Amino acid sequence: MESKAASSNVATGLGQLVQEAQVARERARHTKHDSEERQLLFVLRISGFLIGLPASSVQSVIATDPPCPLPMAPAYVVGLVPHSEGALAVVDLAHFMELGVTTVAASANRVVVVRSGELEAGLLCDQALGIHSAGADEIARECVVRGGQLATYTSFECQLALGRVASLNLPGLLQAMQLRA
Amino acid sequence: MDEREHDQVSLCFCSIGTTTLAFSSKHLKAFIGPESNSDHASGTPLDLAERLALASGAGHSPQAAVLSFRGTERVVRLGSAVRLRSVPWLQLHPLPALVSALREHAGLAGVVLEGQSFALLIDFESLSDTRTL
Repeated sequence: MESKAASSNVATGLGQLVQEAQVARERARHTKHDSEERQLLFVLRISGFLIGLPASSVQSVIATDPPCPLPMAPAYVVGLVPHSEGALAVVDLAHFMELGVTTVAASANRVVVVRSGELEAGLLCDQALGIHSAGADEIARECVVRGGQLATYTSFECQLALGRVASLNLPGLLQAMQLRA
Repeated sequence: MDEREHDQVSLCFCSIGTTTLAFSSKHLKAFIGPESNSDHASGTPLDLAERLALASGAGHSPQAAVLSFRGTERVVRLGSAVRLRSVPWLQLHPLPALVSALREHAGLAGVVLEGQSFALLIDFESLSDTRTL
């Protein structure tokens, strides 16, 4: 009888352990799922708008002299600056997306260097605000930020402590900015 | 060591406004000075500032030279006086992919990078008379 009771206790103990293990596994799975859903965004401010870029696409933030203008380039191509033993094309997103106030290259010398595939560009910005993480609960269901062509290139928006951030489709944006022969 | 590190490229440098341009010295046949002289070559002079839509700056008196390209000799108004100089081959860089189409539109073959200073490398062979952008 005692043996049976002891056996039952052991079984109950094991069952509890199994249950706890199951709960722990579920919790770990959810935690992993949550972390996978978090978006790492590099946030910059351009013409008053908070713009998010995939953090993995941002190579560096540099301070430069005024770029060397390129003849016959569209106005959003500000010019070239030396970068990484070559030349980097600096573009003005405010102008390209018609955000209203064009960033002045001479005064705003903060450039965020981004890359997507073969295309690399330096984005003029007013402020580079660093990397921020957006969880699933911070990602908005609707895009409400409006300004020029911003909505055309917005993948999603998220509500961070900084404010409402429009996260851009960087590959699409760079391809749209690429000059065609 | 790569022998190309010692290779030098002979280039002509000139300025139009604040923009420094460079092109291969193989094109240069003669300096003319501030007045273009059509006796040196046939055809209408090519004004580089006008062709590239570059601001010449106040008091601009373009220097001209006879250049040979695409099988003919042309008088080209270049902006400032031309300086001949050799630079290491490794200082020549292509245009970034984002703006590489400017080779077709503006005859830009790349850049010459010397420290923090830039010169835009003009390829006269691909520079047409007409503006296409």
